[in-house]
Amino acid sequence: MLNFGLIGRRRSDPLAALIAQLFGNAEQGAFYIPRPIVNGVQSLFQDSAGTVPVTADGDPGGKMLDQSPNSINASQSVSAERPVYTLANGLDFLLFDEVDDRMLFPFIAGDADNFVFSIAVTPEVAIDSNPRYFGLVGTGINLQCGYINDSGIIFTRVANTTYNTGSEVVLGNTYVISHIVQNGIPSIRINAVNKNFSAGGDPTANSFFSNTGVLGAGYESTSNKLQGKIHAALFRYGSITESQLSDIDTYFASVAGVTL
Amino acid sequence: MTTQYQQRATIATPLAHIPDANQLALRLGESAADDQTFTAASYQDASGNLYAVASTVTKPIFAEMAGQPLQAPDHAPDMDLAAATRAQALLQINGGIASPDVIAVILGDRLESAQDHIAALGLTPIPQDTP
Repeated sequence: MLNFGLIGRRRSDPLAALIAQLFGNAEQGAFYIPRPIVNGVQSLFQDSAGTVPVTADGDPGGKMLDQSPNSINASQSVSAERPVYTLANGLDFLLFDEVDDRMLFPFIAGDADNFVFSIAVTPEVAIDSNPRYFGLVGTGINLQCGYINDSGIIFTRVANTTYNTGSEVVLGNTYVISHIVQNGIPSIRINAVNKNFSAGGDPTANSFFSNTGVLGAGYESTSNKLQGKIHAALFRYGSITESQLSDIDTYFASVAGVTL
Repeated sequence: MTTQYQQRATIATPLAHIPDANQLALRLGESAADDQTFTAASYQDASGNLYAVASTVTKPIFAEMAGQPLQAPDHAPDMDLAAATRAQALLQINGGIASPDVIAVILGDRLESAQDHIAALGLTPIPQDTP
């Protein structure tokens, strides 16, 4: 029988299914997988113009294509600020050096009361209580970002308030962390578990990037940059279901080697 | 496939030499944006002198070009060669800790960490307030 073994037996693609689930109704946001080829398409490049493909462990990452339909690509035009694509133990990630590495993408305005920023990350260092930023999406007081301090406390900033967990994270381990706002109410989810958290200070946002999203940093020109690995990241405006959050957890855990 | 980026360079530029060092970075780097390599002086030495630090993986040609007469690259034909040449004269590669009179570089294997390089330069980050 012709086509035996092909018709009806195509493997389901969990990434494509997740993208369709999260962005299938024209939701705003972006989805980053730091892997040279994603779904058969070159998706990571050494330069910010996207002309030199990343082909090997150790190449710098200058442009990372958005896997959502929104084409909010992340890039870095300064050579020294490009993280390093790394393939280790079968896992792909961008390695950020804490000194100057960061990937930037355009700020996209949206419903700040309904938002998720998820990241699969291995934070390796946070020194002298200086927090290290995973990333930042937003501007001014409508700022959503995630960071960690040296006590393993995860912070999230929503609107003009900081929220923080207890000591949840061991530096050097890998986690799937989601910073969630639904109907204006924030929550923090680590490895598929919603964590208790408390409201903190009332910070200003003057020294943060303006009109720019960031992976691997938070401030524009100071320290507080990430030393560690980013395996996957997404942000998305709109309400989100528990089932969708669970699917993000599952997929991000799979690409980051995390056991939920 | 093996990467061409076999080395890591970590460069400490004294505050006063940042403009010239950015022109040198424009020459030795691969992007027209590399004149923004050194920005904030967010590291200090034991005496409190301030430095802007950059760390990146590099191709071996980085070290070769650092010792040669400079020419403007295709990606920056209008760069300030005089400024870059002034910075080049201050380069001190694997020569020890940073000081205000040199642009100190630690050049090592690509798998070496930027933090080890910064320690070898005798620098520490300037503490930032928790936001």
